[in-house]
Amino acid sequence: MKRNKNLKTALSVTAVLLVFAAVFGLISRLLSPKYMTDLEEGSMICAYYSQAQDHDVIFIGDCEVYANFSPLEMYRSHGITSYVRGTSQQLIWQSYYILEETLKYETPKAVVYNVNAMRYSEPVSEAYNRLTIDKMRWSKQKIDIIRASMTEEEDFLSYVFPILRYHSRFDELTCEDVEYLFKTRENTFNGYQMHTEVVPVENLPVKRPLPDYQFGDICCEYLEKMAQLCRENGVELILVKAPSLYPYWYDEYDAQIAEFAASHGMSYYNLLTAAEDIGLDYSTDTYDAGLHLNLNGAKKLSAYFAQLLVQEHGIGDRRDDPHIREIYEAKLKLYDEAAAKGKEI
Amino acid sequence: MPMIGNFILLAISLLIYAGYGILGLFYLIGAVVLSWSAGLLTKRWRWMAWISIALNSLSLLMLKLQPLTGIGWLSVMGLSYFTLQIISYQVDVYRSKYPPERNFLRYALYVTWIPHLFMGPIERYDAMAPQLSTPRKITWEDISCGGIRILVGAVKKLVIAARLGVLTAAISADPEKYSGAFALAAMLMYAIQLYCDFSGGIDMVLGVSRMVGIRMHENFQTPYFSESVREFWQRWHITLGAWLRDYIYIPLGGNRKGKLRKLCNTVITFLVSGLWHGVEYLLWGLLNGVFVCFGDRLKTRCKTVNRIGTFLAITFLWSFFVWPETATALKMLLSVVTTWNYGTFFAGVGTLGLTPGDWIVLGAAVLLLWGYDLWSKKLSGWFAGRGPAARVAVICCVGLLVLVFGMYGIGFDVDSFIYGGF
Repeated sequence: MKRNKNLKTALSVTAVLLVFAAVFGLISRLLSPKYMTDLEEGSMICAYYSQAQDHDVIFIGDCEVYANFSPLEMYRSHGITSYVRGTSQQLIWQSYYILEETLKYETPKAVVYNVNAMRYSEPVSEAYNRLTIDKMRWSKQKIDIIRASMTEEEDFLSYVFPILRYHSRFDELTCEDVEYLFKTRENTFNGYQMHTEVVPVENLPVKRPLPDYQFGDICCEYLEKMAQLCRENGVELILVKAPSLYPYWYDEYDAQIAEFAASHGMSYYNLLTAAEDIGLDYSTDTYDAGLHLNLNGAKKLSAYFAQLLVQEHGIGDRRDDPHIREIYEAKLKLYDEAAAKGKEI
Repeated sequence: MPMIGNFILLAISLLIYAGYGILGLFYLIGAVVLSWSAGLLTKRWRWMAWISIALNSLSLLMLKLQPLTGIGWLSVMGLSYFTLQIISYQVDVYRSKYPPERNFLRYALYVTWIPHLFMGPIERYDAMAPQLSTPRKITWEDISCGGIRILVGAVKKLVIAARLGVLTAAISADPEKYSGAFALAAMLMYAIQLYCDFSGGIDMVLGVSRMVGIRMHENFQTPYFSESVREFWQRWHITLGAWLRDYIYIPLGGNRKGKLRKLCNTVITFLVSGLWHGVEYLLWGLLNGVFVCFGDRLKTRCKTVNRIGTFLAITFLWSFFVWPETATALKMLLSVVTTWNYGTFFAGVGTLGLTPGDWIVLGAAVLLLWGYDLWSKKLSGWFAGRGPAARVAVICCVGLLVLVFGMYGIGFDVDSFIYGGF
């Protein structure tokens, strides 16, 4: 009798705990931001997981990659399959762990890293961390990226249980939170965020000298680790500086990257200096006065860079592969429709 | 067996306390060793008790007079609480109320038990010692009742007090801009904030203690339902009130030396209470003493009128907590009747930092608190009568309530309590 009673108690407590876990999970999911129409950058990181992971080139870095390089343009012009795993204010250690995660899914021929983030040797803000990390799949890399990125005010537990961070959204909930409770929508084109507006460069802030141009030790350490990771996986690491006019890319920065590339036998392209060859016109090719390129600019840059990848790095044309063609033609259709609508996607 | 349990709890307490500063830890250990030794030696050398009492009182006095003296080396966390416990032990041993404790571990745990070190309740040794002397059995009853008590405290602290804190902080930060109706609102809101912050903290202390088999005294008994200021002080911060009664008021003569002495003793006791809160609260203590002495004369036959009157009187007195500078507090009190901005109040209160959702949550939570205070005994009895599954369900529901509607995380200092600052 007593044994039966204990069993019944244990079962009923377990049932209550299971219901609680389900409700907790549901509420937690409901309160977490969906990054669908507001702060879309937050959903970029997870869009990759639903892709056919078969890319010859992977781009990593901050907004200068996802706003400037368009993989679909590179496919259209040169048949290159690529994906941009860029996120807002992606710091170099974040790039490293994102690369490490990417290499679990596929082994591209080349990885292109935009070096702009070398200037930041400390976590910038919790908000940017969240945009990069929140939607990552749980893995060793996610744990590492959290531990490396947390600002002083953050705690690890709030990444494990997002309700601890987002509970105050209870009065900001919209239909989007219900609509995307269990699903997501692709906001980018292979990681490229399309902008068609034109805001010409007019007055850039004054270029002030800095007290110190030396990259932080931690940045150099992670760049070294990135180079080693690529070496170990037989992937070519290519360093680039996207042609964004601001924040300023100082000559002293450029020299350090050039030296690193030379000493490691890798290529480094400062595309700022190639703006004329690319054909960029900063009065028509940027959507925010020189910080990022718009679709016009991205088309020019992507075609130029694709040419470089083919000529200098032997990246092949895969338009003959019917499976690839089918995937990319479907993507190009949507891409062109969005471009024709001329609106921000 | 109790030795091992006590040792573990003592070690945890000291480890956590060390996190607040090693100097403070040394002071605490020193105070424990000295008072325990003095207690043992009191039988032989009675003056040892006086020395210990004098040293502890002096430390406390120096801490409280810090704003005047500028001597800040004695900023030891929880000193206001554990010093009163040490003094009560020393006085009781001196009076031979009970023999001195021979077991150092037991005595040390009584003084340093971490949950009540920072905000009370101020326990007496004879109430706590039996629990520290017998083997404690951690039962499901204690865990579940302790758990729900912690969560009730968390609701008070994180859902209500934290929201009200946003409003009172905004108003009190700019007395020039927010006077009149805003000052009145700040006082009313602070009355509830302070109650939720302090009693919420005490709920957590009692809950944690119960979970490890230690029962402590209640510190609140629905104080805002009191019908006079005298009654209020019997139901608010009960353990401090009892301490002041037993170690200040009664030794002064209490009510045994005539009406005038009784009034004087009452006022002196409340002045000491004010000083215990800080030298800047002396006027607040004095006014409370006066209200206690003469407040009963204002009582009517209608309980509701008495309750509202008492609540308003206490609320006005909290103004010295909202604006710690006495001159500002008096100015704000006056502005309630001299600055007539009640017409613009409702438009202005919306800009003080709470969202419409926060206001709804706050209103609902205060109503719930009212109901909880009214029926707390019935609710506790109901909970105690439920089976494990129902108890777990209640704990989960209240926990979820705290998780979703609590104000915590970046920008909020959840482990800071108003009474922890005294």
